[in-house]
Amino acid sequence: MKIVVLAHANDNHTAPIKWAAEQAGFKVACWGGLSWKEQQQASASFNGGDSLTLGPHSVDPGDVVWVRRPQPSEINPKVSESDKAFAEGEYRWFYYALVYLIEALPVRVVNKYSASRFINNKSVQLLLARKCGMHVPETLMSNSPAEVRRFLQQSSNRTICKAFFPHVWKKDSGGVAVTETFEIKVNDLPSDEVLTYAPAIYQQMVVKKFDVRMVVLGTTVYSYALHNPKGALDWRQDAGQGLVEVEIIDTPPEVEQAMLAFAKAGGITFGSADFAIDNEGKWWFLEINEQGQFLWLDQFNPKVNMQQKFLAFLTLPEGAPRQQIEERQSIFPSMSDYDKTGLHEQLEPEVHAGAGFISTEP
Amino acid sequence: MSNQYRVLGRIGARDLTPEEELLVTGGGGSKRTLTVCTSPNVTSATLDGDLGECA
Repeated sequence: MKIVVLAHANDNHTAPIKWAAEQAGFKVACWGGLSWKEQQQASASFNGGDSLTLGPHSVDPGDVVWVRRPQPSEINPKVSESDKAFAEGEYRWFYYALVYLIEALPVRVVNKYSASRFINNKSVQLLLARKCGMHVPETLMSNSPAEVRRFLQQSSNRTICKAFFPHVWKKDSGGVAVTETFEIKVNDLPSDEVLTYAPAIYQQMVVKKFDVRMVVLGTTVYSYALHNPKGALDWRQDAGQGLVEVEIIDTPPEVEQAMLAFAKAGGITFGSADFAIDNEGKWWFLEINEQGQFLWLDQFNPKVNMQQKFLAFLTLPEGAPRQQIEERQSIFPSMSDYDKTGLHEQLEPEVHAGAGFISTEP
Repeated sequence: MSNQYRVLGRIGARDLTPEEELLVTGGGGSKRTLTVCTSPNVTSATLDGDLGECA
């Protein structure tokens, strides 16, 4: 069995996970996504014995495929401008043919591409979370000014606004701005027309005691309280500045049960979920990212050992219980072991094509 | 920057500190796994596979 990672080897999570798996004797193959370049070419053949090769790597029965960060396809820049749209389309459809094919092969996939497409929709997340018994804030997703005004006027709670997807604005004068959750009041709303410029998510603000980041690993979950002394609305702001304290906490049994039911309904076995805990101790589901970042937890609190837990989960058969994960995790080196190697200092920045979610403003 | 015709999300966006900026522009060296969420960064925009969690 080998571990096939759909991500560039210099991805910030792939690099330490690959190193730690190899230290424990596992073979790891990274494929950064479909490209005209030799290392990223791919072939699927159906000649009796079905086979799939991704760059120099074959995907073999019994392998585990971690769909970490597949990158957009990259067409050959020499292709005629007249044929560019055709080539892009063919690359896109070939890419889908590959990633969906993986699900049909006798391999374990974390997570299946189809499931990732489904569960990464925030609408689906909120619906499934509530159906599975979790507390979900009242939410409106809309580009209808009338609906937005009605939601804010009728809400008895404070309201926040957030985007469906992160976006970065680069300023010509220097500096970068990113989307972030912010509080909004009905009197702060801009003109109706502005509300049609982009849809948004309007949500009841949970007045929280602290945040929780939960990592789902198959049949079990691990929860971490995030204490940010500044009490920012979005803890990521404080975490980016190293101001968040990560505390290992128990998950209430009913929340764990609900999250595992949610994961099953969404078809995923791995993910990072965010909860807000209110002053009454109630856990409010906010969102999940099925390939969210998780190694920062180890760097904030070395006792978390998420790198080791994740590798134990990845290399055990699907459905392995928590006890097996924890018994196995010690065969892998930790994130702090990786940090000591200095290898992270040698990582080249990831360079990929495309800039669909970046804007430049004067 | 004129706010005319700007989306609500831009009005609520936050300017990054120089250190945070390094993280989203593909730099940051040893601190790169401290990117607690996955913004589409300036060298690696997200499209089909790389799903952000910052929103």
